[in-house]
Amino acid sequence: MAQLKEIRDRINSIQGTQKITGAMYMIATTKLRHARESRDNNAVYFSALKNLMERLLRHLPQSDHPYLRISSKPKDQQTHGYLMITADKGLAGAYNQNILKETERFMKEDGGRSRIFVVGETGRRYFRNHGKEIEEDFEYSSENPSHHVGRLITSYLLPLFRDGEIDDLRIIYTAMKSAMEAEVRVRQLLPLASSIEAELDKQIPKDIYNEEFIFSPSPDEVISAVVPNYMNGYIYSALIESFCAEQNSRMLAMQTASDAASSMIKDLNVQYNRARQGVITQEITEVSAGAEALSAI
Amino acid sequence: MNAFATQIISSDGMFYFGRLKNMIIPAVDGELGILPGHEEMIIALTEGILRYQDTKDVWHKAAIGRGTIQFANNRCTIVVDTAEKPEDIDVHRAEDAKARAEEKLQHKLSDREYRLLQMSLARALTRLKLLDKD
Repeated sequence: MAQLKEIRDRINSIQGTQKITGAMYMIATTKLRHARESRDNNAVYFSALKNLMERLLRHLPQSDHPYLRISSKPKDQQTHGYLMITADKGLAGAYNQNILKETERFMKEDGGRSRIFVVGETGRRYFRNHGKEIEEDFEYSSENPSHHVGRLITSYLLPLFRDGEIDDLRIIYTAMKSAMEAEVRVRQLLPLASSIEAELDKQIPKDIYNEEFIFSPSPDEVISAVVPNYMNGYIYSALIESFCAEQNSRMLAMQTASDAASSMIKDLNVQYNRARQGVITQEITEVSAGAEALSAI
Repeated sequence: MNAFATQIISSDGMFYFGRLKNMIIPAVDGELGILPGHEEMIIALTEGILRYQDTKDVWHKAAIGRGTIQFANNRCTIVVDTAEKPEDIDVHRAEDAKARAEEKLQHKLSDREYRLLQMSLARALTRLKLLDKD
């Protein structure tokens, strides 16, 4: 009898968990629908923004603008900044781990000269628990991305770069590769030039006709005005992209969990029925044995 | 060549796509008119009112946020963080934002807070200005 009760309890507990994962699946599905909608709306902006910046840098006359200047410090004295976007909550499959792994890889390469700016609570908690230093007063949520958050982050990070506290800035975020697949992307935001040059050399034949662009009032002023705006846009778009990937990842994780719970319950039910049948068979045997013993007298 | 192809892209999608005969943009150092066949250029846009005339000679207006305009080969691409038609503007929200920003600007602020508030005030004022003039 004891075994029967144990199996029953186990089934109940799994059913309880399944209810939670089921509910979380439903929530993630609804959120994903919204997130995907804003991502689709944002997609044209994001690609236009990147194209525009590439074009701008391609046509820019030689400039020594601070946003384009590559740090003159020796390599082993440079401080690298990383803006990483994690989720506010866990239970989203490998979503958070992938971002953390990528960031730690960079940190290892830098040998302690990195400054980490974390968006999202899970990332902050992870670094705190592992005793790694992150920027404590940089506290932004990755839930419901808005322009406002993009602007706040830009106005936090840009002065650090301008004042030479960080020598470059990379953003590490998750992008949706297809409707179901996500991947971690890293992109250098500051200084601008080096993130583009390598790609450009491949793309444009040297002897092609290049239009001459006017930069009004002056190239440097265009850069000063456009770069913060570009960063806002980039960070905002990356937040949207990541939020969508997060919900997608959570939805898949919860679906897998619910499916696993279903198959466990199915197996346990078989075990339960078998055990119950065993008990019944035993009882019948006992009763018939008792009856036989009586008739033998 | 009496019109130019235009795309106005804001962060929540394609705002306008079509051909225009004339356009007046809010640049950092004042307003600027653009006609077909304009010289190749890249210019930074600031919060303000964008006016444009379509091929049926109808003028439209929109409140735009910061961004960039690029003109090349008689094609114009505007990328801005926000773009709104007069009918899409939430007056109360804009008025609230204006009041909030003005109130906060009275206090002692850090450089960063000051700049953020200035931007938010500029956006609110642009939105209200767009409605007033109609």
